[in-house]
Amino acid sequence: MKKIKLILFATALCVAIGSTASAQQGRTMININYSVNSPSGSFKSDVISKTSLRGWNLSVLYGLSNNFSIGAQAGFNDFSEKFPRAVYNTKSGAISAVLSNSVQTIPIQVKAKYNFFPVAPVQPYVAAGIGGNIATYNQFLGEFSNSGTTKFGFAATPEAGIIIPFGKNSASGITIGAIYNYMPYSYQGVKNLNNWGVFAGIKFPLK
Amino acid sequence: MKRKSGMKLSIATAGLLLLVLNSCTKDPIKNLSDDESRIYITNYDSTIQFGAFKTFSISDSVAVISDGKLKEKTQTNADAALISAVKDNMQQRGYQLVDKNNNPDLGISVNKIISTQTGVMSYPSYWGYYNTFWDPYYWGYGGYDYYFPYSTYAVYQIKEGALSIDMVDLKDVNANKEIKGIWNGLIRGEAIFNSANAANQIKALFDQSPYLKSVN
Repeated sequence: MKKIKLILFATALCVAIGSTASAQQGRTMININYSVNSPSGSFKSDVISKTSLRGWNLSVLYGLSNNFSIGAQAGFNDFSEKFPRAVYNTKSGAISAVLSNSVQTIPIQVKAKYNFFPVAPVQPYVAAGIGGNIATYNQFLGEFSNSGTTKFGFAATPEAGIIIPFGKNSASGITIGAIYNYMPYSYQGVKNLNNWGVFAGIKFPLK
Repeated sequence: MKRKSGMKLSIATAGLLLLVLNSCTKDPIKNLSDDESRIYITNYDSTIQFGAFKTFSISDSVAVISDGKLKEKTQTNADAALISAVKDNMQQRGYQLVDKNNNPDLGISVNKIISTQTGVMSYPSYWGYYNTFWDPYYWGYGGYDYYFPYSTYAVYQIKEGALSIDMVDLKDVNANKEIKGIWNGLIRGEAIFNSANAANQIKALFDQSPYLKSVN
C-alpha cells in the first residue's frame, strides 16, 4: 500500500512540474551511456564472475509520438577474470596454469522506447532492444591462448530508467537506468553471456 | 540534402564510437608476472605402475633442440640446476639414482626446445625425431627405437621455447626392442631457462604427478 502511494505521488509530481518541457515527436535523439555490467547465471558461475567497468551503449531513436520512439542501439562490454594457478586434468595427464577468461560483447539491435511522462522533469521510461550480438571469447593458460572464437548470436535487452532534462524546455538531459542483456551463446561449454548492468549518460537531439 | 549528410555523419560517428569502445578491451595477459605466464604440462602412460621402478639415471647434459634438430648438448649452470632439481624430486619420491651403466629402471633426459625458423613445432614430431636427440645407445640400447604411446593426445605446438623432461622405461626394453616413453613434463612461459627458477619449475611438474612414487 505504501509503495502504491509512493508511485502515485511520484507520478503526480512528474505530470505537475513538467508540463512545459520539450516534446520528442518527430525528433531524432542520441543517447550515450557508460555502463557497469555484471555477469549472471552460468556466465557468472562458469566463465567470469567479476563485474565489468568497461561498458558503453549508444542509441539513436526517432520519436513517433511524444511517448514512443524507435531506432537502433549498439553497445560494448568487456569482461575478464584471472583465476589463480590450478591443476587441470587432461586426457593423458595434467596442466598447471593461471587461467584467464576474456569476453567482449557488442550487441547491435533495433530498439523501442516508451516514455511515460515525456514533458515531466523526471521521465521514467521502459525500452527493449532485440537483434544480434558479436561476441568474442578467449581463454588463456598462462600467456598462451588455449581457445577462442568470435560468434554472432541473438541478443534481447529489456531496459528501464529515468531521463532528467537539463531544463524546462530542453530536449537534452541525463539518463540513468538498468539493463539486462539476454545473450545465448554456445562454445566449449559456455551456454550464455547473460549479464545485467546499470548505466548513466546523456541524451541530446541530433539537430 | 542537408538531412542526408547529417545522417551520414551520424552513422560515421556511431561507427567511430564503436571502434573506440572496442579498443577499451583489457588485454587479459598483459600484466601477468613471469611466474603466472608459465604453464606446466605433464603426460603419462596410465597403464604403467610407476611404483614398480626402483632406480633411475639422468642425462649429464641438456639437449638443445633448435627447429626440430639437435643443435648441441650443454652443461651450463642453468642446465645443472635443472638436472639437480629432477634428481632431488626423484629421490624424494623414493627412486634411487644410479649410473647409466648400472642398468637403471628409468632413463630421464632434459631438453631445451628452441624454435626460430618455422615458428611452430608440434609435440608428436618432437617425439618422432627423439632418436636423433638421444640415441638409444646412450642408455646402452643401440639399435632400439623410442615409442611414446600418449603422443596422439599431446598436440601442443611450441612457438618460442620450452623445457621438456622425458622419462623412458629401460626396465622392460628387451621384450619388444622398443624403449617406451612413460612420462613427459613440459614447461613453457617467461624466464623458463633461468637457473633461479629451475627448482620451482621441476617441483611443479612433480607436484601434479603424484603417481611418480617408488615402493622401494
